[in-house]
Amino acid sequence: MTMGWKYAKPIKEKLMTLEEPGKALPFDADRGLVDEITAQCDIEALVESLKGKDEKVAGEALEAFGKELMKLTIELADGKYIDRTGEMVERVAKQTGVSFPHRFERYVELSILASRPTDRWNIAKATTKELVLQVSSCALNKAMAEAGLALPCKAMCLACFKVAADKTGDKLNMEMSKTLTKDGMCEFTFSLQS
Amino acid sequence: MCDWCEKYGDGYERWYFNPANYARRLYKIRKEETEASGAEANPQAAGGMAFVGRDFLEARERGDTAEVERIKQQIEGAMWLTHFGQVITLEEALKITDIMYPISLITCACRRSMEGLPDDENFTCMGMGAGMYKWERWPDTYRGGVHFLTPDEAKEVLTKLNKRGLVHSIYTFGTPYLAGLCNCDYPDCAAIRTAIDLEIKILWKGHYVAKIDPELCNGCASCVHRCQFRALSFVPNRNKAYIDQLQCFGCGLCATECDQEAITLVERASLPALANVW
Amino acid sequence: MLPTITVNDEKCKEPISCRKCLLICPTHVLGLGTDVGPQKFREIDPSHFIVRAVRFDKCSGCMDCVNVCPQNAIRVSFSGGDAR
Repeated sequence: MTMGWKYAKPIKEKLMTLEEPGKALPFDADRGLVDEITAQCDIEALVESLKGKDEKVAGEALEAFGKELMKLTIELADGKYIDRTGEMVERVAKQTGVSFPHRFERYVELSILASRPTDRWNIAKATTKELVLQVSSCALNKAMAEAGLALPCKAMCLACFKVAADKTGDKLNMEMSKTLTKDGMCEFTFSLQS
Repeated sequence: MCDWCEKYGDGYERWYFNPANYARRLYKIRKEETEASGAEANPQAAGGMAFVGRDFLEARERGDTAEVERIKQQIEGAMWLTHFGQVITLEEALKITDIMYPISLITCACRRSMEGLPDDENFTCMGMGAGMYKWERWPDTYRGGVHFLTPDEAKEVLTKLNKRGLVHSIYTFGTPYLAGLCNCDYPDCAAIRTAIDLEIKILWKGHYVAKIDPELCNGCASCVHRCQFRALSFVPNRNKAYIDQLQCFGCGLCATECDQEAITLVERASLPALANVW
Repeated sequence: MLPTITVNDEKCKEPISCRKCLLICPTHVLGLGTDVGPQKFREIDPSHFIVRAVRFDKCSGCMDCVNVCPQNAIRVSFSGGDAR
Protein backbone atom coordinates (compact mmCIF):
# COMPACT_ATOMS: atom_id res chain seq x y z
CA MET A 1 0.00 0.00 0.00
CA THR A 2 1.46 3.35 -0.98
CA MET A 3 0.54 6.91 -0.09
CA GLY A 4 0.68 7.93 -3.74
CA TRP A 5 3.04 10.73 -2.75
CA LYS A 6 3.70 13.32 -5.46
CA TYR A 7 7.30 14.46 -5.86
CA ALA A 8 8.24 17.38 -3.57
CA LYS A 9 4.61 18.02 -2.58
CA PRO A 10 3.28 18.29 0.96
CA ILE A 11 0.82 15.60 2.07
CA LYS A 12 -2.19 17.71 2.94
CA GLU A 13 -3.86 15.39 5.43
CA LYS A 14 -0.61 14.96 7.37
CA LEU A 15 1.00 18.40 7.21
CA MET A 16 1.57 20.08 10.58
CA THR A 17 2.23 23.80 10.54
CA LEU A 18 3.06 26.26 13.28
CA GLU A 19 -0.07 26.88 15.33
CA GLU A 20 0.72 30.06 17.20
CA PRO A 21 3.80 31.75 15.77
CA GLY A 22 5.85 33.43 18.48
CA LYS A 23 4.32 31.52 21.37
CA ALA A 24 7.02 29.99 23.59
CA LEU A 25 6.51 26.25 23.96
CA PRO A 26 7.86 24.21 26.88
CA PHE A 27 9.78 21.22 25.47
CA ASP A 28 11.86 20.30 28.52
CA ALA A 29 10.74 18.60 31.74
CA ASP A 30 9.09 20.98 34.17
CA ARG A 31 10.99 21.78 37.38
CA GLY A 32 7.67 21.49 39.24
CA LEU A 33 7.38 17.86 38.15
CA VAL A 34 10.80 17.18 39.63
CA ASP A 35 10.02 18.97 42.89
CA GLU A 36 6.68 17.26 43.44
CA ILE A 37 7.99 13.81 42.64
CA THR A 38 11.18 14.06 44.68
CA ALA A 39 9.03 15.19 47.63
CA GLN A 40 6.59 12.28 47.28
CA CYS A 41 8.99 9.57 46.13
CA ASP A 42 11.99 10.21 48.36
CA ILE A 43 14.95 7.93 47.63
CA GLU A 44 16.68 8.65 50.97
CA ALA A 45 13.53 7.76 52.91
CA LEU A 46 13.10 4.60 50.83
CA VAL A 47 16.64 3.46 51.62
CA GLU A 48 16.15 4.26 55.29
CA SER A 49 13.02 2.08 55.35
CA LEU A 50 14.87 -0.84 53.77
CA LYS A 51 17.41 -1.12 56.58
CA GLY A 52 17.10 -4.39 58.48
CA LYS A 53 14.57 -5.83 56.02
CA ASP A 54 15.15 -9.21 54.44
CA GLU A 55 15.52 -9.49 50.69
CA LYS A 56 11.91 -10.51 50.03
CA VAL A 57 10.30 -7.76 52.05
CA ALA A 58 12.77 -5.18 50.74
CA GLY A 59 12.12 -6.37 47.17
CA GLU A 60 8.40 -5.81 47.64
CA ALA A 61 8.99 -2.35 49.05
CA LEU A 62 11.22 -1.46 46.09
CA GLU A 63 8.60 -2.73 43.68
CA ALA A 64 5.84 -0.75 45.38
CA PHE A 65 8.00 2.37 45.28
CA GLY A 66 8.65 1.89 41.54
CA LYS A 67 4.97 1.44 40.76
CA GLU A 68 3.99 4.49 42.75
CA LEU A 69 6.75 6.56 41.13
CA MET A 70 5.56 5.79 37.59
CA LYS A 71 1.90 6.24 38.48
CA LEU A 72 2.65 9.69 39.81
CA THR A 73 4.94 10.52 36.87
CA ILE A 74 2.26 9.65 34.33
CA GLU A 75 -0.41 11.56 36.22
CA LEU A 76 1.66 14.74 36.51
CA ALA A 77 3.38 14.53 33.10
CA ASP A 78 0.07 14.17 31.30
CA GLY A 79 -1.77 16.62 33.51
CA LYS A 80 -0.44 19.48 35.57
CA TYR A 81 3.02 19.45 33.96
CA ILE A 82 2.22 18.49 30.37
CA ASP A 83 5.02 19.53 28.02
CA ARG A 84 5.08 20.19 24.28
CA THR A 85 7.45 17.27 23.59
CA GLY A 86 4.88 14.93 25.09
CA GLU A 87 2.05 16.46 23.09
CA MET A 88 4.06 16.08 19.89
CA VAL A 89 5.06 12.49 20.74
CA GLU A 90 1.36 11.62 21.05
CA ARG A 91 0.46 13.48 17.88
CA VAL A 92 3.19 11.79 15.85
CA ALA A 93 2.17 8.36 17.18
CA LYS A 94 -1.37 9.10 16.08
CA GLN A 95 -0.20 10.19 12.63
CA THR A 96 2.03 7.17 12.02
CA GLY A 97 0.31 4.54 14.14
CA VAL A 98 3.70 3.78 15.69
CA SER A 99 3.58 3.93 19.49
CA PHE A 100 6.99 2.51 20.40
CA PRO A 101 9.57 3.66 21.42
CA HIS A 102 8.88 7.27 22.28
CA ARG A 103 5.54 7.15 24.11
CA PHE A 104 7.08 4.63 26.49
CA GLU A 105 10.50 6.30 26.50
CA ARG A 106 8.93 9.59 27.52
CA TYR A 107 7.52 8.20 30.78
CA VAL A 108 10.73 6.30 31.50
CA GLU A 109 12.85 9.42 31.04
CA LEU A 110 10.57 11.62 33.11
CA SER A 111 10.41 9.12 35.97
CA ILE A 112 14.21 9.07 36.16
CA LEU A 113 14.65 12.82 35.78
CA ALA A 114 11.96 13.55 38.35
CA SER A 115 12.99 11.09 41.06
CA ARG A 116 16.77 11.12 40.59
CA PRO A 117 17.59 14.39 38.83
CA THR A 118 21.34 14.07 39.30
CA ASP A 119 21.67 10.60 37.73
CA ARG A 120 23.73 10.14 34.59
CA TRP A 121 21.96 8.16 31.90
CA ASN A 122 21.64 7.85 28.18
CA ILE A 123 19.42 6.43 25.45
CA ALA A 124 21.72 4.15 23.45
CA LYS A 125 19.18 2.80 20.98
CA ALA A 126 15.70 3.95 20.03
CA THR A 127 14.23 2.10 17.07
CA THR A 128 10.63 1.09 16.49
CA LYS A 129 11.57 -2.37 17.77
CA GLU A 130 14.07 -1.79 20.55
CA LEU A 131 14.90 0.78 23.19
CA VAL A 132 18.11 0.66 25.23
CA LEU A 133 18.57 2.74 28.37
CA GLN A 134 21.94 3.00 30.10
CA VAL A 135 22.28 4.40 33.62
CA SER A 136 25.86 5.08 34.65
CA SER A 137 25.24 6.87 37.93
CA CYS A 138 22.19 6.26 40.11
CA ALA A 139 21.16 7.98 43.34
CA LEU A 140 19.33 4.87 44.62
CA ASN A 141 22.29 2.61 43.98
CA LYS A 142 24.59 5.10 45.69
CA ALA A 143 22.35 5.60 48.73
CA MET A 144 22.03 1.84 49.18
CA ALA A 145 25.79 1.34 48.95
CA GLU A 146 26.32 4.07 51.54
CA ALA A 147 23.82 2.37 53.84
CA GLY A 148 25.64 -0.93 53.36
CA LEU A 149 22.63 -2.53 51.68
CA ALA A 150 23.07 -5.08 48.89
CA LEU A 151 19.48 -5.48 47.68
CA PRO A 152 18.16 -6.19 44.19
CA CYS A 153 17.12 -2.61 43.43
CA LYS A 154 16.32 -3.55 39.84
CA ALA A 155 12.90 -4.51 41.24
CA MET A 156 12.23 -0.79 41.61
CA CYS A 157 13.18 0.11 38.02
CA LEU A 158 11.48 -2.86 36.39
CA ALA A 159 8.21 -2.36 38.32
CA CYS A 160 8.30 1.32 37.43
CA PHE A 161 8.89 0.67 33.69
CA LYS A 162 6.19 -2.01 33.64
CA VAL A 163 3.59 0.56 34.69
CA ALA A 164 4.66 2.77 31.77
CA ALA A 165 4.40 -0.11 29.28
CA ASP A 166 0.92 -0.91 30.58
CA LYS A 167 -0.08 2.71 30.13
CA THR A 168 1.19 2.93 26.51
CA GLY A 169 -0.07 -0.56 25.63
CA ASP A 170 3.30 -1.61 24.18
CA LYS A 171 3.89 -5.33 24.66
CA LEU A 172 7.50 -5.35 25.73
CA ASN A 173 10.17 -7.78 26.79
CA MET A 174 12.27 -6.11 29.46
CA GLU A 175 15.77 -7.33 30.05
CA MET A 176 18.48 -6.04 32.29
CA SER A 177 21.58 -6.69 30.24
CA LYS A 178 24.12 -4.97 32.54
CA THR A 179 24.22 -3.85 36.17
CA LEU A 180 26.00 -0.92 37.78
CA THR A 181 27.75 -2.99 40.42
CA LYS A 182 29.15 -5.49 37.92
CA ASP A 183 29.46 -3.59 34.64
CA GLY A 184 29.68 0.05 35.72
CA MET A 185 26.22 0.75 34.29
CA CYS A 186 22.70 -0.56 34.42
CA GLU A 187 21.49 -1.36 30.93
CA PHE A 188 17.84 -2.03 30.21
CA THR A 189 16.78 -3.44 26.87
CA PHE A 190 13.11 -3.10 25.97
CA SER A 191 12.07 -4.96 22.87
CA LEU A 192 8.69 -5.05 21.22
CA GLN A 193 7.20 -8.54 21.15
CA SER A 194 6.65 -9.56 17.56
CA MET B 1 38.36 2.27 6.62
CA CYS B 2 36.26 5.41 6.72
CA ASP B 3 37.26 7.56 9.72
CA TRP B 4 33.68 7.76 10.92
CA CYS B 5 33.12 4.01 10.81
CA GLU B 6 36.31 3.58 12.79
CA LYS B 7 35.28 6.14 15.43
CA TYR B 8 31.54 5.59 15.60
CA GLY B 9 30.85 2.21 13.96
CA ASP B 10 30.95 0.20 17.20
CA GLY B 11 31.10 -3.12 15.38
CA TYR B 12 28.47 -2.26 12.76
CA GLU B 13 29.38 -2.49 9.09
CA ARG B 14 28.96 1.28 8.67
CA TRP B 15 28.75 4.05 11.25
CA TYR B 16 25.34 4.99 9.86
CA PHE B 17 24.02 1.49 10.58
CA ASN B 18 24.85 1.92 14.28
CA PRO B 19 21.51 2.75 15.95
CA ALA B 20 23.33 4.58 18.77
CA ASN B 21 24.11 7.38 16.31
CA TYR B 22 20.38 8.06 15.88
CA ALA B 23 19.38 7.75 19.55
CA ARG B 24 18.98 10.72 21.82
CA ARG B 25 17.22 11.62 25.06
CA LEU B 26 13.87 13.36 24.77
CA TYR B 27 14.24 15.39 27.94
CA LYS B 28 16.35 17.55 30.14
CA ILE B 29 15.09 19.58 33.08
CA ARG B 30 13.88 23.03 32.10
CA LYS B 31 15.90 26.00 33.26
CA GLU B 32 14.13 28.40 35.57
CA GLU B 33 13.23 31.02 32.97
CA THR B 34 10.70 30.11 30.30
CA GLU B 35 12.08 29.68 26.83
CA ALA B 36 12.27 33.13 25.33
CA SER B 37 11.67 33.92 21.71
CA GLY B 38 14.75 35.27 20.03
CA ALA B 39 18.04 34.41 18.41
CA GLU B 40 20.11 31.73 20.08
CA ALA B 41 22.37 29.12 18.60
CA ASN B 42 20.19 27.36 16.07
CA PRO B 43 21.18 23.75 15.42
CA GLN B 44 21.21 24.44 11.72
CA ALA B 45 22.46 27.49 9.90
CA ALA B 46 19.66 28.36 7.54
CA GLY B 47 20.28 27.17 4.06
CA GLY B 48 22.80 27.22 1.35
CA MET B 49 24.91 30.28 1.91
CA ALA B 50 26.69 29.56 5.13
CA PHE B 51 29.75 27.38 4.52
CA VAL B 52 32.34 29.38 2.61
CA GLY B 53 33.02 33.11 2.40
CA ARG B 54 34.46 35.24 -0.40
CA ASP B 55 37.86 35.26 1.31
CA PHE B 56 38.32 31.64 0.26
CA LEU B 57 37.45 32.36 -3.37
CA GLU B 58 39.82 35.35 -3.42
CA ALA B 59 42.67 33.33 -1.94
CA ARG B 60 42.07 30.66 -4.53
CA GLU B 61 42.01 33.16 -7.37
CA ARG B 62 45.31 34.78 -6.40
CA GLY B 63 46.88 31.33 -6.03
CA ASP B 64 47.55 31.64 -2.30
CA THR B 65 47.63 27.88 -1.63
CA ALA B 66 48.65 28.29 2.01
CA GLU B 67 45.66 30.51 2.74
CA VAL B 68 43.35 28.21 0.76
CA GLU B 69 44.57 25.26 2.81
CA ARG B 70 44.22 27.19 6.08
CA ILE B 71 40.61 28.20 5.43
CA LYS B 72 39.75 24.74 4.14
CA GLN B 73 41.10 23.09 7.29
CA GLN B 74 39.35 25.62 9.48
CA ILE B 75 35.98 24.96 7.84
CA GLU B 76 36.41 21.18 7.74
CA GLY B 77 37.59 21.08 11.36
CA ALA B 78 34.51 22.94 12.53
CA MET B 79 32.02 21.15 10.31
CA TRP B 80 33.25 17.63 11.04
CA LEU B 81 32.46 18.22 14.72
CA THR B 82 29.02 19.65 14.09
CA HIS B 83 27.37 19.22 10.71
CA PHE B 84 28.64 17.24 7.74
CA GLY B 85 27.34 14.52 5.48
CA GLN B 86 28.20 11.31 3.70
CA VAL B 87 26.71 9.93 0.51
CA ILE B 88 24.74 6.70 0.81
CA THR B 89 22.99 4.49 -1.72
CA LEU B 90 19.23 4.05 -1.99
CA GLU B 91 19.54 0.57 -0.53
CA GLU B 92 21.40 1.96 2.48
CA ALA B 93 18.88 4.78 2.91
CA LEU B 94 16.02 2.28 2.93
CA LYS B 95 17.81 0.22 5.56
CA ILE B 96 18.29 3.29 7.77
CA THR B 97 14.53 3.91 7.90
CA ASP B 98 14.29 0.85 10.15
CA ILE B 99 16.85 1.98 12.75
CA MET B 100 15.75 5.54 13.44
CA TYR B 101 12.48 7.14 14.48
CA PRO B 102 10.57 9.38 14.02
CA ILE B 103 11.01 10.21 10.33
CA SER B 104 9.78 13.53 9.02
CA LEU B 105 9.35 14.88 5.51
CA ILE B 106 10.37 18.54 5.48
CA THR B 107 11.35 21.31 3.06
CA CYS B 108 14.92 21.62 1.74
CA ALA B 109 16.73 24.66 3.16
CA CYS B 110 19.35 24.65 0.40
CA ARG B 111 16.85 24.85 -2.45
CA ARG B 112 14.91 27.50 -0.57
CA SER B 113 18.11 29.50 -0.41
CA MET B 114 19.33 28.97 -3.97
CA GLU B 115 16.01 28.93 -5.85
CA GLY B 116 13.63 30.65 -3.45
CA LEU B 117 11.59 27.51 -3.95
CA PRO B 118 8.04 27.82 -2.50
CA ASP B 119 7.37 25.44 0.37
CA ASP B 120 4.70 23.44 -1.44
CA GLU B 121 7.22 22.46 -4.15
CA ASN B 122 10.06 21.80 -1.77
CA PHE B 123 9.28 18.75 0.39
CA THR B 124 12.34 16.67 -0.48
CA CYS B 125 14.29 16.57 2.78
CA MET B 126 14.02 14.30 5.81
CA GLY B 127 14.64 15.05 9.46
CA MET B 128 15.19 12.10 11.79
CA GLY B 129 15.11 11.22 15.43
CA ALA B 130 13.90 12.53 18.78
CA GLY B 131 14.85 16.13 17.98
CA MET B 132 12.03 16.25 15.41
CA TYR B 133 9.44 16.31 18.22
CA LYS B 134 10.79 19.79 18.94
CA TRP B 135 10.57 21.13 15.40
CA GLU B 136 8.45 24.08 16.58
CA ARG B 137 11.40 25.41 18.59
CA TRP B 138 13.24 26.43 15.40
CA PRO B 139 10.43 26.59 12.84
CA ASP B 140 12.48 28.43 10.23
CA THR B 141 14.54 25.29 9.73
CA TYR B 142 11.24 23.54 8.97
CA ARG B 143 9.55 26.34 7.00
CA GLY B 144 6.27 25.22 5.53
CA GLY B 145 5.69 22.58 8.21
CA VAL B 146 6.48 18.94 8.80
CA HIS B 147 4.89 15.54 8.37
CA PHE B 148 5.76 12.31 10.08
CA LEU B 149 6.06 9.09 8.12
CA THR B 150 6.06 5.40 8.92
CA PRO B 151 9.22 3.53 7.88
CA ASP B 152 7.29 2.14 4.89
CA GLU B 153 6.08 5.58 3.83
CA ALA B 154 9.64 6.88 4.14
CA LYS B 155 10.80 4.09 1.83
CA GLU B 156 8.19 5.13 -0.72
CA VAL B 157 9.35 8.74 -0.58
CA LEU B 158 13.04 7.83 -0.83
CA THR B 159 12.40 5.54 -3.80
CA LYS B 160 10.56 8.30 -5.62
CA LEU B 161 13.29 10.84 -4.87
CA ASN B 162 15.86 8.38 -6.20
CA LYS B 163 13.87 7.83 -9.36
CA ARG B 164 13.81 11.57 -9.86
CA GLY B 165 17.60 11.55 -9.63
CA LEU B 166 18.44 12.94 -6.20
CA VAL B 167 21.50 11.82 -4.22
CA HIS B 168 20.85 10.46 -0.70
CA SER B 169 23.14 11.51 2.11
CA ILE B 170 23.08 11.46 5.90
CA TYR B 171 24.09 14.47 8.03
CA THR B 172 25.29 14.91 11.58
CA PHE B 173 23.87 17.51 13.96
CA GLY B 174 26.59 17.36 16.60
CA THR B 175 28.77 14.49 15.36
CA PRO B 176 28.13 11.54 15.53
CA TYR B 177 24.40 12.19 16.08
CA LEU B 178 22.71 11.65 12.71
CA ALA B 179 19.50 13.63 12.17
CA GLY B 180 19.29 14.55 8.49
CA LEU B 181 18.59 12.36 5.47
CA CYS B 182 19.00 14.77 2.58
CA ASN B 183 18.17 14.25 -1.06
CA CYS B 184 20.38 16.49 -3.08
CA ASP B 185 21.43 17.77 -6.48
CA TYR B 186 24.11 20.05 -7.93
CA PRO B 187 24.50 23.00 -7.71
CA ASP B 188 21.80 24.02 -5.25
CA CYS B 189 22.89 21.58 -2.53
CA ALA B 190 25.46 23.46 -0.46
CA ALA B 191 27.28 20.27 0.51
CA ILE B 192 27.63 18.85 -3.00
CA ARG B 193 28.81 22.09 -4.58
CA THR B 194 31.21 22.84 -1.73
CA ALA B 195 32.69 19.36 -2.05
CA ILE B 196 33.12 19.27 -5.81
CA ASP B 197 33.66 22.94 -6.73
CA LEU B 198 35.76 24.00 -3.76
CA GLU B 199 37.13 20.64 -2.61
CA ILE B 200 36.09 21.32 0.96
CA LYS B 201 34.89 18.04 2.39
CA ILE B 202 31.57 18.89 3.99
CA LEU B 203 30.18 15.92 2.10
CA TRP B 204 32.18 12.69 2.27
CA LYS B 205 32.16 10.21 -0.57
CA GLY B 206 30.22 7.01 0.05
CA HIS B 207 31.50 3.49 0.62
CA TYR B 208 31.04 2.43 -3.00
CA VAL B 209 32.51 3.25 -6.39
CA ALA B 210 30.59 2.69 -9.62
CA LYS B 211 32.10 0.57 -12.37
CA ILE B 212 30.96 0.02 -15.95
CA ASP B 213 31.09 -3.33 -17.68
CA PRO B 214 31.89 -2.34 -21.29
CA GLU B 215 30.55 -5.65 -22.57
CA LEU B 216 27.11 -4.92 -21.12
CA CYS B 217 26.92 -1.16 -21.81
CA ASN B 218 24.83 -0.65 -24.95
CA GLY B 219 25.58 3.04 -25.27
CA CYS B 220 22.05 4.24 -24.47
CA ALA B 221 23.50 7.05 -22.27
CA SER B 222 20.48 7.07 -19.98
CA CYS B 223 22.85 7.00 -16.98
CA VAL B 224 24.73 10.15 -17.96
CA HIS B 225 22.23 12.69 -16.61
CA ARG B 226 22.06 10.83 -13.28
CA CYS B 227 25.52 11.88 -12.06
CA GLN B 228 25.66 14.93 -9.80
CA PHE B 229 29.42 14.73 -9.26
CA ARG B 230 30.91 15.19 -12.75
CA ALA B 231 32.12 11.60 -12.65
CA LEU B 232 30.11 10.23 -15.56
CA SER B 233 30.47 11.12 -19.23
CA PHE B 234 29.98 9.53 -22.61
CA VAL B 235 32.64 8.40 -25.08
CA PRO B 236 31.05 8.70 -28.56
CA ASN B 237 33.72 6.81 -30.45
CA ARG B 238 33.36 3.74 -28.26
CA ASN B 239 29.64 4.36 -27.79
CA LYS B 240 29.97 3.66 -24.09
CA ALA B 241 29.43 5.53 -20.84
CA TYR B 242 32.60 6.43 -18.92
CA ILE B 243 32.97 6.71 -15.14
CA ASP B 244 35.85 8.59 -13.52
CA GLN B 245 36.21 6.40 -10.45
CA LEU B 246 38.41 8.95 -8.68
CA GLN B 247 35.60 11.47 -8.91
CA CYS B 248 32.75 9.02 -8.17
CA PHE B 249 30.89 9.57 -4.88
CA GLY B 250 29.30 6.11 -4.95
CA CYS B 251 25.66 7.24 -4.78
CA GLY B 252 24.53 4.51 -7.19
CA LEU B 253 22.12 6.71 -9.15
CA CYS B 254 23.68 5.68 -12.46
CA ALA B 255 23.43 1.99 -11.58
CA THR B 256 19.73 2.17 -10.65
CA GLU B 257 18.99 3.76 -14.06
CA CYS B 258 20.87 1.19 -16.20
CA ASP B 259 18.49 -1.46 -17.51
CA GLN B 260 21.38 -3.48 -18.95
CA GLU B 261 22.82 -3.90 -15.45
CA ALA B 262 26.10 -2.70 -16.90
CA ILE B 263 26.96 -0.58 -13.87
CA THR B 264 27.81 -2.19 -10.54
CA LEU B 265 28.88 -0.72 -7.23
CA VAL B 266 32.13 -2.02 -5.84
CA GLU B 267 33.41 -1.50 -2.32
CA ARG B 268 35.68 1.52 -2.13
CA ALA B 269 37.83 -0.41 0.33
CA SER B 270 38.51 -3.08 -2.33
CA LEU B 271 40.32 -0.59 -4.59
CA PRO B 272 43.83 0.19 -3.29
CA ALA B 273 44.03 3.62 -4.91
CA LEU B 274 40.58 4.68 -3.72
CA ALA B 275 40.31 3.03 -0.30
CA ASN B 276 41.28 6.27 1.40
CA VAL B 277 39.83 8.72 -1.09
CA TRP B 278 36.82 10.28 0.59
CA MET C 1 38.18 36.97 -12.21
CA LEU C 2 35.78 37.51 -9.31
CA PRO C 3 33.12 40.17 -9.86
CA THR C 4 31.74 42.57 -7.32
CA ILE C 5 28.02 41.87 -7.01
CA THR C 6 25.85 44.14 -4.90
CA VAL C 7 22.15 44.10 -4.14
CA ASN C 8 20.33 47.15 -2.85
CA ASP C 9 18.11 45.75 -0.08
CA GLU C 10 16.14 49.00 0.04
CA LYS C 11 14.93 48.33 -3.48
CA CYS C 12 14.72 44.54 -3.26
CA LYS C 13 11.88 44.14 -0.77
CA GLU C 14 10.69 40.55 -0.85
CA PRO C 15 12.98 38.40 -2.96
CA ILE C 16 11.52 35.10 -1.76
CA SER C 17 8.30 35.84 -3.65
CA CYS C 18 9.99 37.53 -6.65
CA ARG C 19 13.05 35.27 -7.14
CA LYS C 20 13.48 36.31 -10.78
CA CYS C 21 17.25 36.79 -10.41
CA LEU C 22 17.71 33.42 -8.70
CA LEU C 23 15.95 31.61 -11.52
CA ILE C 24 17.49 33.43 -14.47
CA CYS C 25 21.13 33.11 -13.44
CA PRO C 26 22.62 30.43 -15.71
CA THR C 27 25.24 29.43 -13.15
CA HIS C 28 23.22 29.77 -9.90
CA VAL C 29 25.49 32.44 -8.46
CA LEU C 30 22.90 34.14 -6.26
CA GLY C 31 21.21 32.90 -3.12
CA LEU C 32 18.84 34.02 -0.39
CA GLY C 33 19.87 34.77 3.16
CA THR C 34 18.24 36.69 5.97
CA ASP C 35 19.22 39.92 7.68
CA VAL C 36 18.25 38.52 11.09
CA GLY C 37 19.36 35.38 12.91
CA PRO C 38 17.15 32.31 13.35
CA GLN C 39 14.10 32.97 15.52
CA LYS C 40 12.76 30.66 18.18
CA PHE C 41 9.10 29.63 17.81
CA ARG C 42 8.52 31.67 14.65
CA GLU C 43 9.38 31.60 10.98
CA ILE C 44 11.43 34.53 9.75
CA ASP C 45 9.23 37.13 8.08
CA PRO C 46 9.60 37.24 4.26
CA SER C 47 10.62 40.92 4.52
CA HIS C 48 13.87 39.81 6.19
CA PHE C 49 15.07 37.81 3.20
CA ILE C 50 17.92 39.30 1.16
CA VAL C 51 19.68 38.32 -2.05
CA ARG C 52 23.43 37.91 -1.99
CA ALA C 53 25.98 36.50 -4.37
CA VAL C 54 27.34 33.17 -3.16
CA ARG C 55 29.20 31.56 -6.04
CA PHE C 56 31.23 34.56 -7.26
CA ASP C 57 33.60 32.14 -8.97
CA LYS C 58 30.82 30.95 -11.28
CA CYS C 59 29.68 34.38 -12.52
CA SER C 60 30.19 34.85 -16.27
CA GLY C 61 29.15 38.50 -16.30
CA CYS C 62 26.13 37.94 -18.54
CA MET C 63 24.14 40.58 -16.62
CA ASP C 64 20.88 38.63 -16.91
CA CYS C 65 20.20 39.22 -13.19
CA VAL C 66 20.82 42.95 -13.57
CA ASN C 67 18.41 43.14 -16.49
CA VAL C 68 15.68 40.95 -15.03
CA CYS C 69 15.40 42.76 -11.70
CA PRO C 70 12.14 44.74 -11.68
CA GLN C 71 13.56 47.06 -9.02
CA ASN C 72 16.93 47.62 -10.72
CA ALA C 73 18.55 46.56 -7.44
CA ILE C 74 21.50 44.44 -8.67
CA ARG C 75 24.94 45.66 -9.78
CA VAL C 76 27.66 43.43 -11.23
CA SER C 77 31.13 44.75 -11.88
CA PHE C 78 34.34 43.14 -13.05
CA SER C 79 36.49 46.24 -12.68
CA GLY C 80 35.88 47.09 -9.07
CA GLY C 81 33.73 50.02 -10.17
CA ASP C 82 29.99 50.23 -10.44
CA ALA C 83 29.70 49.08 -14.05
CA ARG C 84 26.58 47.68 -15.54
